[in-house]
Amino acid sequence: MWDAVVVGGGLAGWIAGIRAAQRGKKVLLVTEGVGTLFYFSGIFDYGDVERLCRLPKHPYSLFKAQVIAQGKRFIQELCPEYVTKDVPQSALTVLGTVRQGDLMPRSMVLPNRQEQGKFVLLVPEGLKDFFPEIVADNLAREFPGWQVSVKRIQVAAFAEWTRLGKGVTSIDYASIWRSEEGQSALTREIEEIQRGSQAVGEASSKLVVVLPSLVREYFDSSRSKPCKHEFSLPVLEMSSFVPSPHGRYFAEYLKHRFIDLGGELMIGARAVGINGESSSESRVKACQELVVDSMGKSLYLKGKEFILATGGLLGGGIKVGIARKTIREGVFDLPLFVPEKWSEPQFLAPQPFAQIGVETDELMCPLDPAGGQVVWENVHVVGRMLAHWDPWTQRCGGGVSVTSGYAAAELI
Amino acid sequence: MRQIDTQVVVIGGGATGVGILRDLSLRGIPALLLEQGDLAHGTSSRFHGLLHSGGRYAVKDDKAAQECIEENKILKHIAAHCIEDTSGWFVFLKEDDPNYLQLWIKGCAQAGILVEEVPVEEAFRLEPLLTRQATRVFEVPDATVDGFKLLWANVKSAEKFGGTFRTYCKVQSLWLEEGQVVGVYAEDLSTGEILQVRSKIVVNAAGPWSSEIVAMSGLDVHIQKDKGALLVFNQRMFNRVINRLRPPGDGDIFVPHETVTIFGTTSHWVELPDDHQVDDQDVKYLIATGRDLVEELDQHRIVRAFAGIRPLYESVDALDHEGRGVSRNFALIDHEKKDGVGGLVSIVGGKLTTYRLMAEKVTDWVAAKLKVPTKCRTAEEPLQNDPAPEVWDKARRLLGAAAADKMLERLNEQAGAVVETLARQPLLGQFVCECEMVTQAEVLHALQDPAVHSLDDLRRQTRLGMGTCQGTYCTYRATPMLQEAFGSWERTVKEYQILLGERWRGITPVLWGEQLRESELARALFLNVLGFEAAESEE
Repeated sequence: MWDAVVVGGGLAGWIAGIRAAQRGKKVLLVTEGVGTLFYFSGIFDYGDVERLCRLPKHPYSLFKAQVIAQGKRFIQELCPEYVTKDVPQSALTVLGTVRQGDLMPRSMVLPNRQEQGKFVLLVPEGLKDFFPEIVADNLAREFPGWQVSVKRIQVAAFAEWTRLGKGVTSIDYASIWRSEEGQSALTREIEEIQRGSQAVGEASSKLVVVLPSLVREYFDSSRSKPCKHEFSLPVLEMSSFVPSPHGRYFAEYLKHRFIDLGGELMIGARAVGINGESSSESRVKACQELVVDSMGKSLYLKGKEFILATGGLLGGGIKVGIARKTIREGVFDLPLFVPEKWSEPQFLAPQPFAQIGVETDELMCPLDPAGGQVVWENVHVVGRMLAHWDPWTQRCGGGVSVTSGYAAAELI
Repeated sequence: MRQIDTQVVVIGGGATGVGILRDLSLRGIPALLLEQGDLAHGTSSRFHGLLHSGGRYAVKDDKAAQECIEENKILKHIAAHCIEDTSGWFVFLKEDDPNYLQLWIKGCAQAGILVEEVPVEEAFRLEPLLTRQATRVFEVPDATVDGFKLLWANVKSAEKFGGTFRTYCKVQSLWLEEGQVVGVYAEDLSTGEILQVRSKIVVNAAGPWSSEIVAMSGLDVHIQKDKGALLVFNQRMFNRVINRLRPPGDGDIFVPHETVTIFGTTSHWVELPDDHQVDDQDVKYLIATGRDLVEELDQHRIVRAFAGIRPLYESVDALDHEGRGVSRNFALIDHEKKDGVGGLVSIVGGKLTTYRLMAEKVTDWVAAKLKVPTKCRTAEEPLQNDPAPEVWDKARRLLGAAAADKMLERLNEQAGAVVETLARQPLLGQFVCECEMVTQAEVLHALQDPAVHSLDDLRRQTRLGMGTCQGTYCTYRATPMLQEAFGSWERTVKEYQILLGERWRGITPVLWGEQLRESELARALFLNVLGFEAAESEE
C-alpha cells in the first residue's frame, strides 16, 4: 500500500511525486513515457495570475496566492539556476524573437534593450531546425542598439556527419556541450571571440555570446559534473525547440530526484482502470487500487491517495472518439466538463476544446459537473487534466501544472 | 492600363483551361490564360484525385465510360509522371444488387474497359483493410492523378510552345464591340494593374465560375454547382483505388495518394462557386457510409476534410434534379449560336479525366474559326521529358533512393537544376517536409518560380503542409526560405498564419482523436515554443 500513487510522468506528475516523497511519503509514480516534457521550452509560464484567479473556475482560483508562490519556490529549490522577478522576464525563442516568461534559467534572461552592446551568435554546424540568418535578423530588430554577428562552431564528433549533409539535432549538441570535450571546445571558441574583439579595440563594449540550447541546468551533482559556470564572456542561452534538450535533461533530472528521495517508479506502464467502492458513511467513493497494464500483464496497485496527472488532450489522458461521440477520461472514467462550442475559426485564438477537463473542489477532488458532488474523495486531479484553462493562449502552462502538482502533494 | 494583343484568351486555370492553352500552343495559336487565383485552386485540386477507368459510369452513361477509358490510356502515356498506375477495384458486397453487377460487367465490356476478377481471398490478402462483406472483387485500370502536377506540367509545356499565363489575374468584364466579344478587361490582383486584352476569341473555361463570367455580359450558362466533400486519412490505407460496385453514390471511393488516402464524396447543390465549407453532417455521413467498405474505419485518423464544386452541365432536357442524375459529360456552348454574341465560347461540365478531350474539342472549334488547319497533337506528345538517367543516379547518391525518387517524380524534367544545387550544397538536402520528403533545395527551387506568390502557392507546388503533420513542422522549417522570398519578418509571419488558417479550416470538421492531439501540439509549438501572439477570440 502506497501513501500516494501518481498516474502520469509529465510536469505536474513529477512535481507531485517529488514533493510527496520529500515529505516522507511512500510514493509510486506510474507512467507510459516522459509525457509532454519533450516539448518543454525551458521556461515556466505563469501568465497574469491575478487576472486568471478571477476567471470563474480557472484552476488558479482553486489555490491561495501563497500556494502559487510556494510552488514557484519549490522549482527554484529543485533548479537553483531558475530565477523569477515580479515582472515577467524575457528570453529568446529559437527564431530569435523575444518571448516573455516568469521562471527561467538565469542564462536565458535577456540583457537590457536600452543598453548597447554586441551579440555574437554562435551557430553549431549543421544544427537541425535552426536558422542563423533569421535569428540574427530578429535579434537586430529586437535590439536596435546592439550589433549582431554570426560565428560558426564545429565539433569533431559531428564533422563527418555534417559534411555528408546530415543535420544534427539540438539534443545531440546539448549532450556535447554538457561533456568535458564540448565544454573545452566552447571555452576555446569564446576565448577566441574575446581575443578577436580586443584586437579590434571593442573591449570596452558589452559582448554577449548567444547559443541555442546550451542546457546548463539540471545537473545532478551525485551523477555528473556540473556545467562550467563561467566562460570568459557572458553566454545567453536560447530556449528550446522540439525535440527539446531542456525537456530531455529536465525529465531525467526529475526522475533522479524522485528516486533519490525514495520514490518508486514504474515506466512503460499504462493505467487502464481502478477498483473502488463507496465508503460506508456517505455516497462518496474511495478508490482502492489502480489497474495497470505493464508489458501485457495486469498489475493491481493499492494506494491511500491517487493523483491523476495524465496530461489532458495532448498527454493522452482525455480521449476524444470519432465524430466526438465518446469523450473519456481513461483511468477513472471521471465526468468531464465539455464545452458546447468546440472550436474557433482562427487557429491561434483561444480554443474552446482546450477548456475540456475535470472540474474539482479546492482539494482537487473530481466533481460531477451535473450535481456538483465529489466523485472520489481520495483522487486529486492535476495539471492539464483540470478543466477551464488554456495553457497556450493564457500562457500559464507551467504555473498551473507546478502549482497543482505541488498542492496535491501537500494533501497526501 | 496595360494593353495586350493575342489570338485567344482562356479564362480559368483549371485542368480544362490549361489543357486548352497547351493544345492552342501546340497548334501555334497565340494564347493567354488568365486565372483569378493560383492554378488548380478550384475543382482541379478539390477532388479525390482519381483517374477514372470509366467503370464508375459503365451502367448509367456509356458515352462517359468510353471517353474515360480512352482518356485514361492517353493520360497514362502523356502524363505518366503525374499518375500512379495503382489500378482500381470494384468491390461487390453481400448486400449489393446482383442485377447491377451483371449490367456493370456488360457495360464495361461495351465501353472497352478491361475487367479482371480477383479471388476474394487474394483480395483480402492484398488489401487487408477491405471489408469481409466483400463477395466479389474486380480489377479495372483506374489510377490516381496529382491535379497540381498535371496542371503545372500543362502550362510548362504550353510555355515551351509560346503559350502564356497569368495567375492572380481576375477577369472584370468581357470587352464587347458591336455585340461581339473582342477581348477582356482583367485586374492583376497582386499589383492592382488593369489589363486590356484584345483577342479574336475568348474561351470561358472557368468551371464553377462559368456562369459568373458570361453573366458579366448578361448571358446565361446553366450549370449546377454540386459540392462534393472528401476526407483525408493519414495513412495509405489501400494500394489501389477502391470503388463500391453499385450505382454511383456517396462515400464509395477510396483513393490512395502518396502517404494519405482520400475518401469521398458527397453531392449537394450550392449557390456559390467557392462554397468549400464542409459541415459536420457531411463528415458523419461519409464516415457512416465508409464503414461499408472498411469495417474498422473508426480506428483510422482523419487529418482533414475538404470540398470541391463540380460544375455540372445542366442540359435543357435534364429532368432529374439530383446531382448525380445530371450528365457528367461536357458541352461546348457557342454563344454566337445561342445568344448571337460572337467571339465567345463556354466549355462546361466534364471531369478531370476527360480534360484533354474537352480541350481538344474546344481547340478544334477555335482552330476552325481562326482557319488554322493544324491537327491536335496532345494525345501523342508527352507533357514532359523524363529526366536523364544520370540525373536519377546523382539524385539517389545525394539523397538516398526513397527521397530522390519522390523528388524526381515531383519535379521530372526540372529536377536537374535541384540536383545540381544539392551537389554544391549538400546541407540543402535536409528535409523541410519529412512526411513527403521535400528538401530545402526543392523548396528554394519552387520559390524561384514567378508564379509562387504565397506560402499557400508553395504548398500546391511542393505538397508542403499536405502530409500528415498538416504544416506544423514544415511551415516552421520553411522559415528562412520564406523570409528570403517574401522579404520582411512581418510578411513571413503573416504567411505562416494564412497557411495555418487554411489548414485549420480543413481540420476543424474532423477535430477529434489523434488529429485533435496533433492540433494541441501545433498550438503548443506556435503559441508557446515559438512565442506567436495569440489571436483574439471572436466572442
